[in-house]
Amino acid sequence: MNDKVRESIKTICILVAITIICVALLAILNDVLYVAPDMDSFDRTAKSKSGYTLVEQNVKMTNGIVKMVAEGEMLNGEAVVGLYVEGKGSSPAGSFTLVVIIHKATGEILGVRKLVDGGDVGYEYLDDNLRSLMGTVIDGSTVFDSDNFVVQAGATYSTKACRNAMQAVAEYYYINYLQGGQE
Amino acid sequence: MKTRDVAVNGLIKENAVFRMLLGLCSILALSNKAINGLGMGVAVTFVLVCSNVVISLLKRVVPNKVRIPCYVLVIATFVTVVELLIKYLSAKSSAIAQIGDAMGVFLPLIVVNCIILARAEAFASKNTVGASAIDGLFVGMGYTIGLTLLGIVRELLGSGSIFGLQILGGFRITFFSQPAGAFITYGLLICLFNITYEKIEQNNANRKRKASVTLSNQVTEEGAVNG
Repeated sequence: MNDKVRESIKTICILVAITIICVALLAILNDVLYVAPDMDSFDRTAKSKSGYTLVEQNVKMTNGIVKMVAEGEMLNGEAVVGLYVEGKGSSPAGSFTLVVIIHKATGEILGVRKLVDGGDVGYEYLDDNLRSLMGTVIDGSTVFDSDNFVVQAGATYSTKACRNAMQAVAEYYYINYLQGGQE
Repeated sequence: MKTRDVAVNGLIKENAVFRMLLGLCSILALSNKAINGLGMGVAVTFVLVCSNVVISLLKRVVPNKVRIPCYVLVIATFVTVVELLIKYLSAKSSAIAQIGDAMGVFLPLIVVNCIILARAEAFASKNTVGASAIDGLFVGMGYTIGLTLLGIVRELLGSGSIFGLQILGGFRITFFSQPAGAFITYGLLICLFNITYEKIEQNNANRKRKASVTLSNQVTEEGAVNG
């Protein structure tokens, strides 16, 4: 093997080694700093895509009203469904309005954001509590029908209204996407 | 090279914004608000310091023929780290999310920012790790200060505020928030910076000349006394 070939092999090996180190570093950091896709990402994509379509409005479900439905794509091109939902509320807390983004094919909740809290009890709701709903896969209309979720410790009625909104989401998705309504 | 010289070079003599005129695209696009300039400056400084350190560490390993692809690979890695960090912090703070949105396409374009590649090639590949880190820090600080200063002037004139705080009430000349206003403000600041720099240099030269004249007079007098 002459010097030129040896030099070329050495050069390629060094380039490959640096690439592997860089990729490994980024893979680790990607896991550490991973943020689930949220509403901003959806909003941005939805606004930039002409294919962003409003499907229906004001659909009454058992536990709330699906006020607006939009279909769009995430930045990676995967189809998602965005629901603007008002969950039934009761005194002293009012209704609870959320925007929920669902992966169209799998039914996974990708993002949840509180838009309106109808109550006037002055709770500062923790985003982390709402974020705990992310990752749940809607595989039936009663997936959120449990007492496990609290929107804020002590906020019993708001929690109920929020859970109602999520149940309306699950019911809508189940009827329209899982049972073959729009798929 | 002394730390002080490296610092003065990065901040003043070879200031990326006002003396070297490097990375003009991002300078003009992101200086409409002071906070955007500060955000971009911090991102560039982080990439500069990290890439300078790694490139300095690799200088003996990387073959000369492939040094530029290696530098770009290292710089791209750190730019991706910044992107991941901004995405992560954006989920926690809406202020950072706004800065990230404002940076937009200019954030990934840091990879091809002349300042970073220039420092890698001209400094980091020839100096020690410590000196390269200091160089990266001060060049980055010079860039940050320049970009923030330009942002302050443009925001003040264009929106009547600084860092979002209303100062001039309703007074605003929207022209300064637009690209043409960016060019004019930038030109005026370059002019001001260079006039000040030349004056300081001239004063230093005069002081040195006076000191050397005084010294030579002293030597002559001492010689005459001894003689």
